[in-house]
This record gives sequence, C-alpha cells and structure tokens, in this order.
Amino acid sequence: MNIQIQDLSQVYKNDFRALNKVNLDIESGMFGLLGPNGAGKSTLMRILVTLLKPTHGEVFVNGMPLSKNRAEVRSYLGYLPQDFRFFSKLRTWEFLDYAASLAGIKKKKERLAAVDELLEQVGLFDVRNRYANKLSGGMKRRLGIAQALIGDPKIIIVDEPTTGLDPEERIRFRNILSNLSQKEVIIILSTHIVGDISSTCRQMALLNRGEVHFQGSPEAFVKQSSGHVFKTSVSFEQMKLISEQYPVITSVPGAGGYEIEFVADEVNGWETTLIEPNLEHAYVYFMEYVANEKFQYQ
Amino acid sequence: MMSLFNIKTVARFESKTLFRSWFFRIFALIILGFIIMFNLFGLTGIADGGWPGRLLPSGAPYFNMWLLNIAQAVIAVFLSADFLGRDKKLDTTEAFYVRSMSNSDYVLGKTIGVLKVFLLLNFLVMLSSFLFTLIANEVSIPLSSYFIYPLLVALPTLIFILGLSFFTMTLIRNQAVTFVLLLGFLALSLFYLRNKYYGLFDVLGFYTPFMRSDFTGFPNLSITFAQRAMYLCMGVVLIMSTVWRLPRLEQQRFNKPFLLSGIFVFLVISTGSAWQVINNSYQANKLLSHVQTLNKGLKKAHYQIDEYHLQLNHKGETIACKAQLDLSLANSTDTEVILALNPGLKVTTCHLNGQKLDYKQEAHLITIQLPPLSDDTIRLALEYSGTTTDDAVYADISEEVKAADNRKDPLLAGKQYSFVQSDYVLLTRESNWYPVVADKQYWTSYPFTNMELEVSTKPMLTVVSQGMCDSLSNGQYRFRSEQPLNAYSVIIGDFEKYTTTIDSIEFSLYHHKKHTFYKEYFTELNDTISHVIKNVKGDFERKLGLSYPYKRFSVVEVPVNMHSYLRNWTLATENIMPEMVLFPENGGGVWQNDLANIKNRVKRRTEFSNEERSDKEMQIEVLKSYLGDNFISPSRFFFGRRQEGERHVENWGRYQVFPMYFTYNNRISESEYPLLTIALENYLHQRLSTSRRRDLGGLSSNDEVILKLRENSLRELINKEDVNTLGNVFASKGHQLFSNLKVNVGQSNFDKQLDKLLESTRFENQSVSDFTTDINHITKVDFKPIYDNWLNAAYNPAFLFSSVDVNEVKDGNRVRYFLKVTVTNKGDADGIIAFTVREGMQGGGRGRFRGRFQMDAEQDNEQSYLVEAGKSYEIGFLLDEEPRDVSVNTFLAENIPSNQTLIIREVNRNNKRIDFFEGARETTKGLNFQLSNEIIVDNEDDGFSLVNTGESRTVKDWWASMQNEEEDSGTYGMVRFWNPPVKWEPVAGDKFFGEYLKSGVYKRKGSGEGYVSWNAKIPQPGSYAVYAYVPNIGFRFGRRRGGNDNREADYKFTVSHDDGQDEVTITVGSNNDGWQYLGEYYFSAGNAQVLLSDDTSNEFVIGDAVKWVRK
Repeated sequence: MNIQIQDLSQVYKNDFRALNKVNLDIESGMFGLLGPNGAGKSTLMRILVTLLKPTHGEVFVNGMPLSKNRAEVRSYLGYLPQDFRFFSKLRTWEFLDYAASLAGIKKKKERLAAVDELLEQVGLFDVRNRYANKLSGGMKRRLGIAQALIGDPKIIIVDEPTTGLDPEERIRFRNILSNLSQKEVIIILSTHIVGDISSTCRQMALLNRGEVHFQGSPEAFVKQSSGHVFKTSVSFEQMKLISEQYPVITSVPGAGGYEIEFVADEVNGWETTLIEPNLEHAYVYFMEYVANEKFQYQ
Repeated sequence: MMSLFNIKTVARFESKTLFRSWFFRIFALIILGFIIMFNLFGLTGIADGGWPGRLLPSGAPYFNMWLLNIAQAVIAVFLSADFLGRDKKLDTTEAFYVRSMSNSDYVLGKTIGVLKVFLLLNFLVMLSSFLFTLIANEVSIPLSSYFIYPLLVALPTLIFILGLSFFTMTLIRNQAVTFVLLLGFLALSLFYLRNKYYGLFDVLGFYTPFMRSDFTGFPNLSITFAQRAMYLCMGVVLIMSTVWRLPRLEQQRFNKPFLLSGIFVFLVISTGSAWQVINNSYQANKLLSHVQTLNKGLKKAHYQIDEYHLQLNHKGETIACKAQLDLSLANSTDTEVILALNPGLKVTTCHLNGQKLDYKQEAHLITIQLPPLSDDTIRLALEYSGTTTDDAVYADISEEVKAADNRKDPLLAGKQYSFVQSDYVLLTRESNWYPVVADKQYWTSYPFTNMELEVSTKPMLTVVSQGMCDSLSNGQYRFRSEQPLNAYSVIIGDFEKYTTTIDSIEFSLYHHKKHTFYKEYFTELNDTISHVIKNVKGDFERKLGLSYPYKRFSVVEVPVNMHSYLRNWTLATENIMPEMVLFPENGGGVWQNDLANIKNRVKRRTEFSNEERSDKEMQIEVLKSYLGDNFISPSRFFFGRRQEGERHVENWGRYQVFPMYFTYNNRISESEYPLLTIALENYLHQRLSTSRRRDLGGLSSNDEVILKLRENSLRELINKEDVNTLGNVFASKGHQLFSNLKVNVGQSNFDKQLDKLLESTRFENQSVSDFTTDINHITKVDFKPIYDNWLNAAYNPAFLFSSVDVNEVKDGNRVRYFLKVTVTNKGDADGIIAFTVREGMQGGGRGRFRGRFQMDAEQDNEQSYLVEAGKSYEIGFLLDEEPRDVSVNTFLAENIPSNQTLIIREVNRNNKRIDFFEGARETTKGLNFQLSNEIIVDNEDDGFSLVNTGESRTVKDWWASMQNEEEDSGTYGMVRFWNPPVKWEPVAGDKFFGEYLKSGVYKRKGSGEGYVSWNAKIPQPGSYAVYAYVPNIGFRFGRRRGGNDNREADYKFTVSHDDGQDEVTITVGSNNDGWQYLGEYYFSAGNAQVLLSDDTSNEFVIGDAVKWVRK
C-alpha cells in the first residue's frame, strides 16, 4: 500500500489557503501527521477520505488517482472523524453492524462475528446492547475507532483521536493502533499532541500553515534538533527571565529553583548542559525556530 | 453502480432509527388510535349509530386512507426534514460517507427506509379497516381495495412529500424554515387550492374523488391516475435531485449525466401527466363550449320523430347502434334534419330508403341533408358507435355547480353521468345515447315517442330498460314500451333480481350480487312486503291524486359515482326514469339509508312509548321509513347541507318517485321554457309537501323568490337573469298560478277535474291551445289573460292580518268554536291566501321522524280565498274543537315570511250568541299598520340604525365571526341561537314585527358598546307611551344544561325624552312576547330616540321595532 500526494492545494471560499502544494509519500505502517491547530491536518485528511475535493493536485492510492477511483479507494478506507460524538438511535452493536455492512461484509454471520471481535478488541462487548448515544465519551471514541477498523480497511485514517481521553484510554487507544500497524495497512494519524506520534510511527510529517515542513522518520525529525536542547538549573528569579528568552519545555522545581529543559539555536549567558532531544523537544524547536524563520523569510 | 445491498442496508438502519424516534411513535400511535377507535365505533356500529359511509363500496378503506394521508404527510415533513437535519451533525455521518457506496444508494436507502415505516403504518390502518369490516359483517369490500388505496393515495403523496422535504432541505439547509415551507405548502393545498386548477394541486388526494364503485371502479381513473403519477414522478425527480445536490463527492465520475438524464425522464413523465390532466379538462371545456354555442343557435324544428327502432350492441367498452327513425316533416320541401347525439358516439352511415345521405357531425349535432322528397314521413337509418362522453352532458348546468364536490359525507364520489364499460352500461336520456330532434331548447322538454329497442350484450349480464322485455336469444333482448315515453334508459350489469307483482304492477329490485346487507333487516317480510308497498303506494297516490301510469316499477342499483342535477324546469333528475329509480349503491352512504340506524331508531321509539312490537312489525316500520325517506317524502336531515350553487327545493329528493306520476307522463308542447309544465309540476308537488314551521325564522325558498320578484315580472326576470338561478322562481310562480285558478271553482272540485285531465292526456304532446281550452272548461274563466298577467305583471298583493278571535258558540246543541280573522289587501294586485287551521291537541309522540310517511294520519285542510286589491275581508271558521294553530300562506305577496302563524286570542266563552259564519265576508273595517296616534319605527325603516363596535375582542369572538362569514348568505337568515353573530344580522320570521316583511336584527351579547337605535320625528308635543317589540325566539332551544324552562332575558333600553334619558330594563320571559311597555314620557316636537344595548344576560339580543303612542 502506498499513498502519493502530489502538489495538493486547498483554497476555501473565503480565500483561506488551507493546504499549499503539499507533497507526501506514505507507505504501509503508521504515519503520523503532526501540526498545530489550524495547520491543515483535517483538510488533508478530508481530502484523503474523499469528503473534500482538492482545489489543485492529486492523490494517488497504489498509483490510482483518487479523484477517478473513489469507489475503490472508499472500499479501502476506515475513518474516524475528529469530532465523533453524535449518534442516531442505534445500539452499539447495531452501529458497528451498519458500518460493517457498508464496509462490504455482506454475509450476516461474518458480519456479526467481525462485530463481536471488534467489540472485544475495543472493550465494548459488555455494553454492546446499550444505545450508542448513551455511552461515555471514551467509549464513544472506542466505538469510533471500532467502526473505522471494521471490515479490515487497508487505509485507516484517524483525525485527532485522543482529544478528550483520559491517559488510560489514550494508552489503550495507542496500543490498538500499534497492533494494527503490524499488518500491511496504512494508518494515518493526525494530531497536535506530540505524545501520540509514539515510537510506533514509522514515518511522520509536520504540517504548518498548510505546508509540509518535514517528512521522514521520527528519528530523523528528532535529529534535526540535536545540539539545540539544553538543560540547566535556575533560581526562581531567573526562571522568569529565561522563559521569556527561550521556549521552556519542562521545569522541575527543586530546592533553590527549577531544573529546566529548553530549546534554542544557541545559548548565550547561561550555563547549560546539552542533552539528547526527544520528539517533543524536536517539535518545539521546529515550531519555534525552523518553521517561523522559514515563514518569516517568505 | 447502484448496489442493492447498500440500499437495503441504509434503508434497514434508517427505518430502525425512525421507528425508534419518539416523535414518530407518538404521532403514529395517535393516528392509529384515532382510526381504530373510529373503525371500532363507525364500522361495527357498537354503542349505537355507526358511520353510514361504511355501507359505501370501499367506503371503509377509502375513509381510513383519507384520514391517514393527511396525518402521514405531516409526519413525513417532520421526519424527513429531520433526516437531513441529522446529517448536519457531520462527523458521524462522514464516517459513513467515506464508505464505498454511491450517493444514490444512500439517498435511495434513506427514502426506502422512511417509506418502509410508513408502509407499515398504512398496512396496520388497512388491516384494522379490513378486520372491523369483517367483524361488522355487513358489506363485502373487494380485497384489492386495501392495496389499491395505499398505492393510489398514499404512495404518491409520500414519495412527493419526502422528495420535496429532502430537496428543500438540501437547498435551504435549515430545518425550521423547511418545516414552515412544507407545512405551508400542505396547508395551501388543503385549504386554499383544494380542487382548483383541475385538481392539480391536490397533493393529498383530499379533494379528488376516490370512491370505488363495485360496478364500475374509480371515477375518471385515467385522469386520477395521471394526477397521482404526476406527484409520484415529481417525487422521484426531487429525490434524484437530492442525490444530485447531496453534500458528498460522487462515487463514480459519470454518475451525474446518468442522474440528470434520469431527472429529465421523470420530469417529462411528470409534466406529461400534468399535461394530460390539463388537456383533458381543456378538451372537455372546448367540447362543452362548442355544444353550448351550437345549442344557442338552435331553431324551432318543424319535424318530429314518431318512432324509434334501435339495435344496441354492447361490446367491450363501446356500443354500436343501428337506429331507424320514423320522422314526420312539416312539409316535403324540408332540406335538412338536425339531430342531437352524444358527441362520443360517431355516426358511420346514414341512409334513406337505401340511399346514402350526406351528413355532418359537429359536436353533438348531426345535420342530415335530405334529398327531394315526395312524402312528408320518412324512415332514416342511422348507424353510430363509440363510447359516450360525459364532457358535454348537462351543458346547461353552470361550471360552479358542476365543479362542486359530490360529497358522501365526508368522502368524495365522482360525478359521472353515463357508463359504457365492458361489464356495465348505464345510459339515461341526458347522455343522449339515442338521437333526438335538436329543437330549440330541446333539453328542457322531450316529446313522447315510441321505441322498440333490441340490446345484445354478454350473455351473463342483465339488461334493464323501459317496456316489456322479450329474451330473443342468449344475451339478446327486445324491449317494447306500452306507451310512447319521453325518456329511455338502458342499464346493463351483473344484477341479482327480485320481482313481485302488486296491483298488477311488476315491482323489481336489481342489485349488485354482493350488496345483500339489507336482507337481514327484512327476514320476516316475505309475505307482507307486497302489502306494505301497496299501502305506501295507496297513501301516496291518495295524497297526490294521481295513479301510477306504468306496468313496471324497478329500483336499480347504480354506481355510487353516478350523479344527476336538479334543473330549473323540472323536479325530475336522471335518477328517476320512467318505470325506474336509479338508486345509488347500498343507499349512497347517507344517514337515512343506514338500515341499522333506522332499526335502532324504531326500536328506541318503541321502547320509549312502551309499546310491544313483534320483529315483523319492527321490520315493517323500518321498511316504511326507508321507502318514505327515499321515494315518497324525502326531507333533508338536520345535518344535511345545501350543495354549492345548486338549486334548493324543500320536500324534495333525488329518488322521489313523484316525476313518474307527472313529469314523464304529461307534457305541454311549449316554445322556450315549458312554463306551464313547470307550473303544473310544482302545483302538484306542493300537494305532497308538509310545511315546515320556522320558529327560528329564516327564509323559505318561496320567501327568497318574493325578494327576487319584488320589482320584476317573471318575463322580465327570464330576460334579465341567468335562467339557472330561476328554478325556485319558476316553482313558486307555478304553484301560485294554479292556486289562483282554483279559487273560483273550489279547491277539491278543481283538483279532481285537473287530475282527470292530467290522467286522460298522459303520454300526449299536448298543445298549449288544447291545454288552455281544457283549463277554461274546468275553471270557467278565461285562462289566457290570467296566464299573461301571471307572466308579465309585476304587481303584488300585500296583506295585513288581524289576530284570530275565538268564540265559543252554540251551533244547535253542540258547542263549537268560531274563529274570525280580518285581512286587508293593501297591495296593487289581487291575491290568494290559504288558511290552514289545526284543531285539538297535538298528537302524541310526534318526533322528528314520525308521521311523515303516514299519509292517513292527518290531512291538513287548506282553504283558499281571493282577496282583491284594496279590499278587506272577515274570514270565519267553525270548528268542533279548540284551535291549536292557524297559519296562512300568502304565496307570492309582499309578505315575508309567506307562511305565517297567526296569533290566537284567548277563547271568549261568555258570548255564545255571537253571529258566526263560515267563509269570507267583505268588510269596510279595514286594517291599518299603525293607528293615527302611533308612530312606529321598524328595523326596516329609515329611522332605524345600528352600531357594531368591539366586534372581536376575544379569540372566541373572532372565531365566531369567521364561522359567521362562512354561513353568511347576505340575506335574512334564521336565529342561530347556538352561535349568534358578533355583528347585528338581519333575520326574518313570523315571530318578528313588520308591516309585510317581518324581520329584525340580532347579535351575540356584548359589552354595551354595540346598540341599535330607533329615531322618530314626534309631530306634536305631548305625553307618549313608549313600547318596544321583543319577539319570543329561541327560548325553547336556547336552554343550557341545568337552566330552567322559563329562561328570562334582559333588554336594556334607553329612552331619550324631554327630561333626559331613562334606562329601562325589561325582563322578557317565554310567555310575554310582543310589545313591551317602556314607560310614559313627555316629548316635544322633533326627534325622539330609543336605544337598545347589546348588554344582556341572554346569549343574544334582538332588535325589532319601537312605537310611540300619544295619550
């Protein structure tokens, strides 16, 4: 499976350019799409799931142009929209049954088996007869992921799946996804939460203001910020000063002040220790220095 | 590509959600509950009194569907707008939008899902209708009706409404606005557009007749079908447009062209259907106006048909006729003959003595060119075939009357006038199925002509026509009438027939084989039925004074969609033909033909009066009631209403047999309107009528005629007005003509001789001069000037009556009662008055339904007097018992109401030696409306004025005023005590005060802001006693629950006099009506005024008259 995005642009009616000449190659495995709110992630997702026709450019799925093969592409898709909360008056299992039918499982027996299996998998089997709109927020999300996964989709697209979930739910959710990524499928996960792009993502892209600023492995992304992440101890008074100068990522209060980590192109006037960056460091560094500069140059 | 699986899936879950929505559940339960309750009580008739429409063929499923369809259209609007509304919560829907299905799968699935739920509802409703009909076990309804009605009525409406709501929703994307628009559209179609514009806007099928006859099925099926198809296809177009407008990317690239071409195809079918409806109407109107134009140009014909020899071959949906017409011409130099024939029948050949003749068929007229002739009698051979069309039948009836609904409360039947179907044929004279001479106004009076008719049809069908029937061979019959008739009809159908001979007349009943519900009501009557019929017939003929002229009498059941109109020139409709009554299926679904209902009534009455009656006696009673209400003395039921624009005749019914005793036997050949025939017919018909008391006022049709004739002679009216509106004028004037004649020779003498004359001239085309001679002979006066005067003069008599003096007198050894009334004719013409005096106490137990058919019970004895213009008479009566009631009929005088009850004074028992007499005596002591010392201001006078203020201050008032407007006829009404008007409205009746027009005004009680005032000019100063006239109206009916009989009403008068104003409150009980004393006041010369406020304790106030009497 692969998805090629070529020169994709989306301009809304109010002249807002949500995507600008986006080019991406996505291979099987989990693909993380990272970006701040309003970066164009959802727009890109909606184009990928055929809900939106791009103003310009084309998406190829396994080499097929999306705009001409919607029927086939749709049959590969599983989609969890961003704000998946409203349900009609259907029971949990019926909701999945509906999704399974539309996903093309025509035999009732197979369908019910698939429904039960997924219900088990997302831990909703006990509430299978409850009306979907009576489920708790976390359960609804899980039901959402279940309906996206039913019918063995080849391309799974989840848009901001972890917003509003408690940590336990979030972990369970990540596990479901990472289990799936073992198969020959593409999972595209869009998020503005760096923690979601866990080590399970084989590839990732960073989207900002409608443009792709980075594409590659998470490791490569982290590497970009190598040499720009620092650690130091500051007093309570100094804390204010330094946080005005540099983006502070973590601050741990200690005896006489804070232990802090921050990113910077270079540090002047502070005694610091260089540390190995992680994904979060890299994201902040990128957003603060690379992306903005690039934007400023334009 | 569309995927059936996807559609089914979407549909499955859509209907599941819909079914679970509370809105739907509650609505559906309410509707189902209502319909089941109705079916339970209406169809099975438990708890007394079922719905009479259950007896209509397919009445039960039709009514159920009729109700359901409105309800479900409304639910559909809410639900379907809701369906796309749900889609606005985009994210959940989007999870499904990304699935591999086409947009059409989705929308179609949704539509089918909604439809499935509604079809279930329809199924349940039809099932309940079916089960309850089965339980009631009265009528059988063809099983197919339970499927056809939902398909024909519900399905197109649903698809259209769904499509429309979906599509509006995709356009507007606002649920509330969509609701308002769609409900508005439904309301517009239901309350305003109704069946206007060819019924094109009747989405709900609410105004389209869907009455399914067991004989002939639906009326105008192809047009109804086209109308429904139009909505169905338009619905499909809208649904497809929804697919097109769906906010989801299409699945396949080439879907749109497919979709658009689909939309186009259905749009074409839909508009095609609409065009078919419009064009059908257009063509019909074109033909109709062509016929009307041709009719206007018709001239007096000088030839006539003497005899018909007709062979009618019924085959499939057509008839083919071979006609031989024996014509006599005025002279042998005539060059053409013009005949009228139904325009649906096409003439194929025309021969004279084997020689082919040239002819031209234009609309309904056939003009045949005659070769030079040697003889003035010829035999024309004509062949014609086709299917009769209803479009040009009743060309004289106004469009408004024709367009009015044929309501079988509350359902709608069609208006069909003739039928030629493969298993059923019904042709009456009006359909022109045989050629007649196209004389000037030929449709108003047909000559008597002999006919020999041969009919061939399918062997299993029964043929009914006039005359003696010989069966020639299988499916071939010959009818030969004993007399020449002026109307022939032929009916072919699959009938069950019963025949019995009574008084050497063959009585037959032809009914549909499945319409046997009546049998259980007459199980005991086998040997008595002829006795009952004989009695009823005897009573009727004694009252009418004429005998039955035919050898046969048949009641033939005809399709419920057959309709006939009452014309101005006759009381006969096409439902009565010589020898036969064409009776609607199962009695036409009216209250008085609901046998279960009649039976209950009879039973209740029996129980009420503590009588013991056997089943047989009860059944006789039921039969008498049934026969009486339909054939003998029909009267409109309390709830019966006047049909739009149609002529209204009291004591008349469509199936009344009266025309068989006159209209189809006697004819005076008149040019133009057959006024003499009309006059005679109405005079005779009046013999059957029982005058209805109008305690609450209101105008009889005769009173309305008086208003019309106030300044016009009959001739002037005919020239001036559309004759369509003159039916009642003809009737009243006609009655008056012969009532005038009988004064000279005495009523019974005149009637006896007239009856003899009529019976001896039956089936003759009598000339006017012959008739005049005969009448001269009977009345011993010259009829011609009387007739001319009657036609041309616009003078009216105007009568004043005194109250009735009653004296106990000694006549020999007997104590008797002497009544004296003084009457003065103040008008400019002589006039006739007829007194009816009823004596003794009223017979017990006379309910609303009793006594109408027992002709022998009480004969009203009417006595007529001639009152010459300007003269006064005393009229005396001598009675054996105390008088109960004296009423006088003034016919066409200035007096309104024309039938009034006079006030009877207290019996004077002290002066037994008074000089008594019987009959009329001229006197010089005339009556005057007012005395010289009186000033009277009546509500008709200039000094009277009224003020309406604060008309609608509450919603109730506003509603009442809306209701009033609907009922407002613009003329004098009756007192509607149950719903008085919020404005002063004129009323008339004999309880009111007035010189000749007894009238008043009345109004719902108010705050005192509304009032009426009487203003008089006081000629000379002095002391005056002031009186106000308060008529005694409505106390008998106006009782509320818990109220007492002696209900009293306050009347607040304000008298303005020299010393200021005095408010006088008068309390009027049920016993003191008439002039109420308001007090004595001093007035100087000039204006004086009395006001009456609308503030009262009663429900309404009546303002009538005030008088000032000088002391």
